[in-house]
Amino acid sequence: MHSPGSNEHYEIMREKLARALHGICPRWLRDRADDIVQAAMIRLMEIETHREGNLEFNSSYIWKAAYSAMIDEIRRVRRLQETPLDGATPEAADKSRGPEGAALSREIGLGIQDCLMKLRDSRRTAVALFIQGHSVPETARLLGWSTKKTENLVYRGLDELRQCLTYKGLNP
Amino acid sequence: MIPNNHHSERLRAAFAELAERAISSDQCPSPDRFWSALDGKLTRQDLRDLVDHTILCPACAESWRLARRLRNEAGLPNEAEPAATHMHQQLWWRWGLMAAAATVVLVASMTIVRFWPGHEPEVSDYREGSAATIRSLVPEASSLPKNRCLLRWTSGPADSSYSILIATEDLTVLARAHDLKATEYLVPESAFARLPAGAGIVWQVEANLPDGTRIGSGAFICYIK
Repeated sequence: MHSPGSNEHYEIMREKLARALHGICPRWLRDRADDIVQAAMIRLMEIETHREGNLEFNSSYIWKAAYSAMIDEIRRVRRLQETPLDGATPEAADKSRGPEGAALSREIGLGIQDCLMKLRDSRRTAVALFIQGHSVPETARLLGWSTKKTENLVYRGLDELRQCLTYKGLNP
Repeated sequence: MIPNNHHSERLRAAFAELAERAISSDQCPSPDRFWSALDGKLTRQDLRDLVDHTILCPACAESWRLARRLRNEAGLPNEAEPAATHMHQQLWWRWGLMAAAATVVLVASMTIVRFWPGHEPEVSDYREGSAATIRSLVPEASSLPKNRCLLRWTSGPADSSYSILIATEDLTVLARAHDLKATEYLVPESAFARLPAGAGIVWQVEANLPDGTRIGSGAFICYIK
């Protein structure tokens, strides 16, 4: 285990941040992923420097700070979308899969948004977390529900979601 | 049994792709909020509100997925239960406010002494054995105008955020606010629409610290003029 603040510690963090970001960020942002990670690391080191001697960081806090720095940087880059560089734009990403494919995917995504908001409270929350990638047991523990109850809500909610999408003429 | 099949994956992919063109707005929650949600630090209601926001805001949905992914990379769990259920939090507020209400009579009698000519009002100080206690910076039992009821308190550690609840003496909630970065809150004048001049209000602050812990203040009392 590397101690917080050591070079090895930062290097491991950088690798994990990069891996997480590459695995999750949209195509158009991937070209900038390294810059985002770098900016996040610089901010993280600044925070740690300013806090030195005042507060001992625990691992969870450092990860939280790294995450916050990364989201701030992504938000900043997103706001610059109107003056993109190097062709790394949403439009460029759309071209790579064809305009029709991009339009259909977007239509389905918007349909999911609309249909989710029509679900009742508990089903909506359960299905939204499922769509975000959480498993049923994860969702159950997050919401403090039993697995059985959560599974039931996700199952019924997904069924309702499918019906709603079908009614809209969407078939993902 | 939930089929974690190709269809579910397509739903997830289509929803995630909305983030391609997304731009976050000023109304988007802070990154800390997403991390705290997965840390189980939000109340159930706050968690639901946040999830609702991610449904309509693809950029924040992406932030949520990134938090989950990063926590997996870091070996942190994504499945902590809410630290305090909504009901528990309501009880916390209620007990605090009830305690405050019970002290109203005492405060009223103290007020006579405090506002005696030559006696300076003091700042409320609820020390409970912790250096991180939140204290009111509004002179105790002072009267504040309806159109400028600015409640102020001592700060917690850097990067803390705050929640505040304001109620009448009989514990009817007048206003509440969450995720405040400043250590002050200007209560909307509309909150006092039905309160007569001279009515007392009780307020409490809860600090959400960067490490995820929470510190509740005592209940403070002031009057509306």
